[in-house]
Amino acid sequence: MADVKTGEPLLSVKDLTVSFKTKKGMAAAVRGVSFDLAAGESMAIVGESGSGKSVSSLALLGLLPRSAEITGSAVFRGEELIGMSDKKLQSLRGRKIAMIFQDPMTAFNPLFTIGDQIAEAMEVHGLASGKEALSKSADLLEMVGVPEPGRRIHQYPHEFSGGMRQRAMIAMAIANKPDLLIADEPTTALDVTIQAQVMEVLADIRGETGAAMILITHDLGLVAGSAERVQVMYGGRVFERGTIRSIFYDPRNPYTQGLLSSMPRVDNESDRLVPIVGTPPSLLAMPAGCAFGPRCQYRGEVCGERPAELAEVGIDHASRCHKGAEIPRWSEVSA
Amino acid sequence: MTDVIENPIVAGASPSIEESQGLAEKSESVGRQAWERFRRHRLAIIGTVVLIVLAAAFWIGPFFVSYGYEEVNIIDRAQGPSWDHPFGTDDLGRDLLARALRGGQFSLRIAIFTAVLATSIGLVMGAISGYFAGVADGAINFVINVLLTLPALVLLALLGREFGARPNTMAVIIALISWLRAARLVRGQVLSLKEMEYVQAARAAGAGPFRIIRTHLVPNLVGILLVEVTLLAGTAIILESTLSFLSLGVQPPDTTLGTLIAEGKSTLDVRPSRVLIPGGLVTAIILSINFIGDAMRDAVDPKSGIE
Amino acid sequence: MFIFAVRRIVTAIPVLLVATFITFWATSAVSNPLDRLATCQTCSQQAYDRLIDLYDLDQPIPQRYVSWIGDFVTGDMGQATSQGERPVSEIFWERGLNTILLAAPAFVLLTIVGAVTGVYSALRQYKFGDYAVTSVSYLGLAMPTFFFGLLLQVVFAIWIPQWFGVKPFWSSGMHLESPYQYLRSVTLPVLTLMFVLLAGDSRFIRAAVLDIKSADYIRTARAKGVSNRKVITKHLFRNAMIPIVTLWSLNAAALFSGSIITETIFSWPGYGRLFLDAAFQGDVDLTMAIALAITVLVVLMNLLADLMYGVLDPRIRYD
Repeated sequence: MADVKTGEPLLSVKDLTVSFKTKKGMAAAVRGVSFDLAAGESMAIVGESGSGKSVSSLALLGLLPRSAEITGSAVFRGEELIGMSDKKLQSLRGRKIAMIFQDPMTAFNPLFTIGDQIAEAMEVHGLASGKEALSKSADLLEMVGVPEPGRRIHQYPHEFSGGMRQRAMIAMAIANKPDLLIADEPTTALDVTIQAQVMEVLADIRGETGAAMILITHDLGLVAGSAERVQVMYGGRVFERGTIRSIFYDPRNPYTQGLLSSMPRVDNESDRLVPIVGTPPSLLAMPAGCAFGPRCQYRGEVCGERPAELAEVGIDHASRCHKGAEIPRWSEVSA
Repeated sequence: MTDVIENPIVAGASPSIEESQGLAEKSESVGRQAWERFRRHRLAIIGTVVLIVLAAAFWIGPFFVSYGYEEVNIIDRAQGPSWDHPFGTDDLGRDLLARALRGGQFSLRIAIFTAVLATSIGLVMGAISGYFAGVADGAINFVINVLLTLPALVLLALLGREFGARPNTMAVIIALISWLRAARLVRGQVLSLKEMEYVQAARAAGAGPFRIIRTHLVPNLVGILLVEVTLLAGTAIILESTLSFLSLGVQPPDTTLGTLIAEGKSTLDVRPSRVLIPGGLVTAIILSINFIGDAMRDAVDPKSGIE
Repeated sequence: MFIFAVRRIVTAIPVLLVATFITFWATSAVSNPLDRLATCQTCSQQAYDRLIDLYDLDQPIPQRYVSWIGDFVTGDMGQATSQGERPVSEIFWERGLNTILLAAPAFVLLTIVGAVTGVYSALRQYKFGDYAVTSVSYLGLAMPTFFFGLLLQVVFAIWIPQWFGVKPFWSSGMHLESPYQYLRSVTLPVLTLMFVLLAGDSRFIRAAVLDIKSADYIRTARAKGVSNRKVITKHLFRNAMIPIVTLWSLNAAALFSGSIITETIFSWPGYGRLFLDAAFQGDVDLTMAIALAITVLVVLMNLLADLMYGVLDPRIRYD
C-alpha cells in the first residue's frame, strides 16, 4: 500500500534511540528502532511495559520531557522530525500526526466541555473557529458513533462514559484529517465489549479518512484484526517484525512465541496458558547480551555475551535471536 | 514487581517512563529503601546534624558555661557580647548564652512533647472517625470545624496565661489545637485501608475493631505519623515562641527562645543581637526540622513529589 | 446555588455557637474583670457591684453567655470596660477598619504573589528560579511572624532608616495623613504579615501546578498542537485556579492570627493587641464582638471558596 506516485514511505524511522538522564545514570528506553510506514498502512507495535513502545512514538512528536535524549532519524513526508523546531512540530501535531491516548478519563481536561476540546484541535491549526468549529465537533462525534452529538458537545468529560470518552478522543484526533494516527493503548482502560466497539470505530474511521496508523499495545489479541504489520519490542529493541500472518502463524523469536503461548486463543490446541518466566529487565541494568536472555528457555552461552542482530528470516519477516536456527517452529511448539 | 512469575500480556498496562525506571529498584526491604531515599536529601542530613549539635549544646552546654541561667549580676548588666559573656547579658546581668541554652532546651522539649501529644490525639481521633464513620465521624468532624473557626491564637493566649507557666502544660495547650491535620491524614488512610482485602479478610475472620486498628492499620500509619510528628514539632516551636513572645508562656526566671526575643525587643535599636541570636536559633531549629520532615515524607511516600 | 449557600450558612450556625461559647467560656474563666479593681485602693464597693452587675458575675458562665447573645442580637454590643467604657460598637468599627487597612492589602498581595511564585517555581522546576523561590519559602516557613517583623525593623533601622523611618519606628503605628504616609507606615507590617503565609502558599501552589503539569490532559493538549504558551495560559492556569481558591479560605483565618502579632510589633491600632488586652481584662463584650467577627469571616470565606469551586469546576454542582 505504499504511495503509488513516489514510492516514498509516509514515515521512515531509522535507528531511533531514546535515553533518559536519571539519578542512576542514562536509561536507554529505545535502542535503534527502524521501520517504514506507507500512507494508509496500519502497523502495530507490541510489547510489555518498559519495552519502549510508547516512548518511541512520543519521541516522534517531541512530547517527551526534556531529560530525554533522542538520536536517529524519523522522516515524515520528507521532513526530519528529530531535532525539528518546536514551532514546526507544533504545526504537525494534531494536524498531520494525531495521537489517541490510553486513558480517556484523564486525557481530557476536566474543566472544559468535550466540544471545546475537539474544537480547540481545529482552532489551533486555523482550520475552523468559533461556532463553525463547534458544529464540526458535533459532526465528528456523530462520525464516531456518539449519540445526540448536538447535546453532548456541551457536556464535560465526567459526563461521558469511558467508551464514549474514547470515541470523543478519536473524534478529536481525526478532526484535522491527519495522515497518521498514533493510538497508544487505545482500549486498555475499557471493558472488553467496549474495546471491540472502539476498535471498530477506529477501523471505520481509517477506512473513511485513509489515515495510516501506528497501534501501540501490549495486547496481541487486539492486533490481529487491526494491523497489517507487527513489530514486537522488548527491552527497547525490535525483537521480531513481520506481517500479521507471519507473526501469528510463524513466529520465530522465542519472545514472540512466549507472548503467544501466554495469550488465550481460539485455535490454541493445548488448554493451558504458559506464562513467560521472570520479569522484564530494568532500563538501567540491561543484561549484557540479549535482553531477553535471562528469561529465554533456549539461551546459550553466546546469548549472555552480546545482543543479537535483527536478521531476515523470510519475506518481510525478521527476528533478533542468536539461536535462530535452533528455535523450533511455532507449529511444533503450540502443538 | 514482586511476583516472580507474571503473565506479561496482562502485566503492566500503563507504560510510563517513571515506571520503567522504577523497574531498576532492586527488591530491598521497605525500611532500607526509605532510608536510601532519605539519604539522598543532602539538606535533611545537614538538618539532622544541626539539630543534634543544637540539642547537645542545649543539654550539655550549660555544664560548660560559667554562669547559671538565673544568676543575676547587676554590675555586668546590659552588656554586649564579650569574651566573658559571648552573647552578652540582659538587664539583670544574666548571661545570655546560659539563658539561650536554657531557652533552647525548653523550646525543644515543649516542641517534642507537643508534637507527640498532638499526633497521638490526631491518631486516636482520625482512627475513630475513619473506622467507625457515622455518628463518631460526624462528632469529630464537628469538633474539627469548631476548632478551625475559633480565634485559636487568642484562646491559646488565654490558656497560656493561665496554665502556660510550666513547660508541660504549655505543650498540652498547644497540642489541643494542633492535632487537626494529623487526624485528617489518619482518617484518610484508615478509610482507604479499610477497603483493602486483607483488612476485610481479618474482619471476616472475626477480628474486633480495636484489634484491626492495632494490628492492621497502625503499622501502615507509622510512616506518615513519623513525618507528622516531625513537621508538627516545627509548628509547635513557632506557636510556643509566639506565645512566649507575647509574654504568655513559661514564666521567669525560666525562659524559652521566644521569651528571650521578647525581652530583647526593647533594646532592638542598640543591641539587635539580643533578638537576632535567639531568633536565629529558632529559625535554624525549624529549618532543620522541616528539611528532615520533607525528606522523611519523600522516604515514606516516594510519590509525594518533594525533592 | 442559592439554596446551597443558605444551607451552608444554616449548618454553620451550630459551629458558630459552639465556637463563640468556647471563646466566651475561656475569657470568663481565665480573666476576672474584678481583678482590675484589686489594686485600686479608692474604688468603692459600688464599683465592684457595678462590674458584677454589668457582667452578671453572680451567675454561671453558660447563663452569662445566653444573656450576651440576647443583648447582641438585639443590637446591644455592650461597653468596653478595658477601653474606658466606650461603646463596643464604636471601637469595633474604628479598629476593624484599621485592621482591614492592614489585612486587605496583605490578602490581595498574598494571593497574587503566592500564585505567581508558585506557578513560576513549578514551571521552572529544578532551574535557578525554582531554587530561589524554594529557598526563600523554606526560610519563610522557618521564621515565626514576630521574628521576621523584628528582623525587618533591624534592617530598616540600622541600614536604611530613611525609608520607613520615624524613630523609634517600631512604635510608628499607622499614619493616614496622606496616601504616601499610609504606604510608608503599612509597607513593613504588610510584608511581615504576608511573608510567613506566602511561603506556605507558594509551596502549596507549586505542588499543585507540578501535578497539573504532568497530567495527561496537558499532554493531550500538546499533542493537538496547542502552543506551550497557550497550554499554560488556558489549560494549566484554569486548573490551577482551584488550589488558589482553596488558599483564600485558609489565608483569611491565618491572616487574622498573624495580624495580632504584626499589629503588636508595629503598634498598629487594629484588633490585634486590643483583642488580647480585652480578653485578659475580662472585657467580655469587646472580646466577643471581635471573636464573632473573625469566626463569621472564616465561615463566609469557606462558603465563598465552596461557591467558587462550583463556578470553576464543572464536576461540582450545588443543586
